[in-house]
Amino acid sequence: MPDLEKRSDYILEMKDISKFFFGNRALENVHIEIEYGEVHALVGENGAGKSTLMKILSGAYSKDSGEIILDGAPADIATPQDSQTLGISIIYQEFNLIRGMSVSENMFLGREPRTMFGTIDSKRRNEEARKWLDRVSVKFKPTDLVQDLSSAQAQFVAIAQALSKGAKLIIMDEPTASLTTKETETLFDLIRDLKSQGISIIFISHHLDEIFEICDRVTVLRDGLYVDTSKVSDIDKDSLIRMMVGRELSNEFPPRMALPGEPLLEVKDMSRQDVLSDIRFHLRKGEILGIYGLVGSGRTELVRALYGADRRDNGDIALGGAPVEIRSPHDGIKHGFGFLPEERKLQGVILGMSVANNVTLAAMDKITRYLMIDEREELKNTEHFVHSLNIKTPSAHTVVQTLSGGNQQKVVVAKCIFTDAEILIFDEPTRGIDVGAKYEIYVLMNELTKSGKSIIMISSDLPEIIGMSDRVLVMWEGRITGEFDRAKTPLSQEAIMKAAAGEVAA
Amino acid sequence: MANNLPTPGADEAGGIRGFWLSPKIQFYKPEIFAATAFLALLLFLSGYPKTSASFLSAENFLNVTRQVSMNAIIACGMTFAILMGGIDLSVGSVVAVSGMIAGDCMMRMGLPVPVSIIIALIGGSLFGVFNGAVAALTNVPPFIATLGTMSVGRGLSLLFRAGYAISDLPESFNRIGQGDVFGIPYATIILVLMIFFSWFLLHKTVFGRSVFALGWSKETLRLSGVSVKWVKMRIFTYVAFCSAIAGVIMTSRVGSAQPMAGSGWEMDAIAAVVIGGGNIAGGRATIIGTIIGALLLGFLGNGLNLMGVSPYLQIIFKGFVILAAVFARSGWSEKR
Repeated sequence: MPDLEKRSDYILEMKDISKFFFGNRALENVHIEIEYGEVHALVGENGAGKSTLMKILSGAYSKDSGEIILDGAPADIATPQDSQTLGISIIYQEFNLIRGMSVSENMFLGREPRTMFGTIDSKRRNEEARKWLDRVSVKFKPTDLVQDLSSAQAQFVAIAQALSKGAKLIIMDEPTASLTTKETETLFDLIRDLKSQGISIIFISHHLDEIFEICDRVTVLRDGLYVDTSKVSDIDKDSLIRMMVGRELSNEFPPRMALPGEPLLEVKDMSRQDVLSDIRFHLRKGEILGIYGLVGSGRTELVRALYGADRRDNGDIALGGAPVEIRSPHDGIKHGFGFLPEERKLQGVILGMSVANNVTLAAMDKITRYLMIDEREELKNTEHFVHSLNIKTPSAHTVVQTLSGGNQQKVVVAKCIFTDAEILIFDEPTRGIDVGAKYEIYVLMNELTKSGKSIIMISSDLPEIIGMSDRVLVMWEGRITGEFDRAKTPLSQEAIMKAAAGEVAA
Repeated sequence: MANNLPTPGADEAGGIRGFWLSPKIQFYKPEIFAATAFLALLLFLSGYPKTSASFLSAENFLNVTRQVSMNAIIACGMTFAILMGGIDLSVGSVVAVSGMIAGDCMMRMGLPVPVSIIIALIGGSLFGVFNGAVAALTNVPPFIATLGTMSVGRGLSLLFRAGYAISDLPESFNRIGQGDVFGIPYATIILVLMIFFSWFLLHKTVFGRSVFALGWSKETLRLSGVSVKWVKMRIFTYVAFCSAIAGVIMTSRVGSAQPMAGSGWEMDAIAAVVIGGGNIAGGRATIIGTIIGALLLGFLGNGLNLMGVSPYLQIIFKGFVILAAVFARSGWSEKR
């Protein structure tokens, strides 16, 4: 219902929004203003606070402090229902649609039109759905099953659903992540159309080109803080990148002292259809090799294939010049790889097991005598790690679930070292860990390389990559698009970010 | 930021709540709860005038352990299946099949008793190999896979003699289920051995650790270099092996191989595991708890018998005991 007399210039104002998780800053005094009928980009590195801000707006999180003003009036958003009633809709990356139901069933779930007998009036539901689907100009039928649609089509259903609920502000979180170029164009046409109908859109994307193509203004967040808002026409890509990464590197990182030795690992022609193509790189003894890339760039897939966790179509792996065969994590461990996975709680530790049981999980044979686990030997080894890695735990028998994230992560590190791994693969080693524990992990990494171990570290945190790596590989769409050696030139955030956005470094 | 990950075992068992307890005691909390209930039952039965005298005899106690032995042995195996987050519904059918195999070997083929028993144990275990292979190599959930083998097993045991039992088994065979040494039933001795062996397997070996880990996170276990398929194979084979042992005891106890033996026993075995603190979602179960659960059910039946409660009422009563035991531990669902 368009107001003839606008009460404000903005459909949405979020003022001084702060949110802390267990004392860690997710957002602090962030503000954003959205005009009527504008497409507003929200950008920042992974972990900058974009998602948190949007979750507060959609009612999934509650804010610690701050104010939300919608259509000039203060809005109280406590639940997702509240935000929907106020005309805010969020289109998630993984669409909240039930795959086994039809398009119209999904669109009117929980608010189905009824017949006079109280049963669901499917005919009217399908007609209503058709009306909204026409508005987003799609061809498929309201009776089609969602599971038969492409992800682009599913996205259009989600948008049509949002419109049918009277959305005035639509949040799109990485809407193009799973779309082809052509589908992206169709989506952009729809966005322009919605804009002309006075609907505002918050557009979150890692693809900077898209922002320059479709958005009017852009707000940049960094480390949970507001950086700047600017008209897209007033800036260029380089200045946008600078705003995103502009944090100065302070002494959050211990100095790298270890000098990498001779080449240890050599990977050639590694590929996997649609995921990895023609990967080649090497790793030297005592080196920290950083791998940077945006979500979906194939960095995790690369190390998982190397470790034997995922299959690969091709790829020669050689250790010290001798080719090795790695087809399973068991092979990986046998050849001296240790893997600290991305999802600590789901892939790294067994939450219900004690510290000791977790530490020895990947090398139980080492402590087995006559078919029986030697618990004293286990305890002795675990206590050694608790001491040397400074794991803060009441005892070696404590269940890992009760430890903090940083200490859980150290347990995973201990697990890797206990297998006698020479090459440690750390996938997001400091994700979800507080600052102090992060520093301890960095110190630990330095010590490990000093003792001759080599580390491959994946991180979404650019300063971390630059602060810790001797050499950096950058990936984009399953390919290596850049290699930067600190010994040759100082690592530059802008250059790495460019390579991560797909611009192949010269 | 996803701090509320699903944590199997934690919700129902209450294993992570209560920091005032040492980790070891915390871990055994549900077992301690079940043991308390069990002791309360024993105290009641020995104090209640109507049951006291007959209940408090050594003969009665040994008799109950003989009756309980079959369910308790199966429940030992079931503990592994439930711990990994699975289930095995085919145990009752395996009881019947292994009994029929033993009977057929002795009576039709005229094989010696020990050889017949070994063949019966192998034959029963093969069901577990099949269940394990389905669990390891396909995406068919264990519930469905073992539902299938449950039907196959039952059909096979009926097929042996066109639905008839195999009777007049050799006296030396019947001694396993009926006889005793120094007053202690052979069945009880086998039970004690199987408890110890299962406990050793679950709590002291690499295999047992892997089963536990599998119940929490298959991916963590796999990334730790353990073959998840091989672990699953062994779990289901062990469950079937336990069931086959129970089948041999059952057959010798009644002195005849019955094609309908063991029907419905899967429920008793599952009940023993959950009363003893096992979480049906996986990640939590212990042999000690399971045995307490099986004994609780056994002595409950014994007590009700001594009180002269009708067997039909007993079944209803048993159902409520299972519900109450798990409810007392897990509580109400969260209100939203």
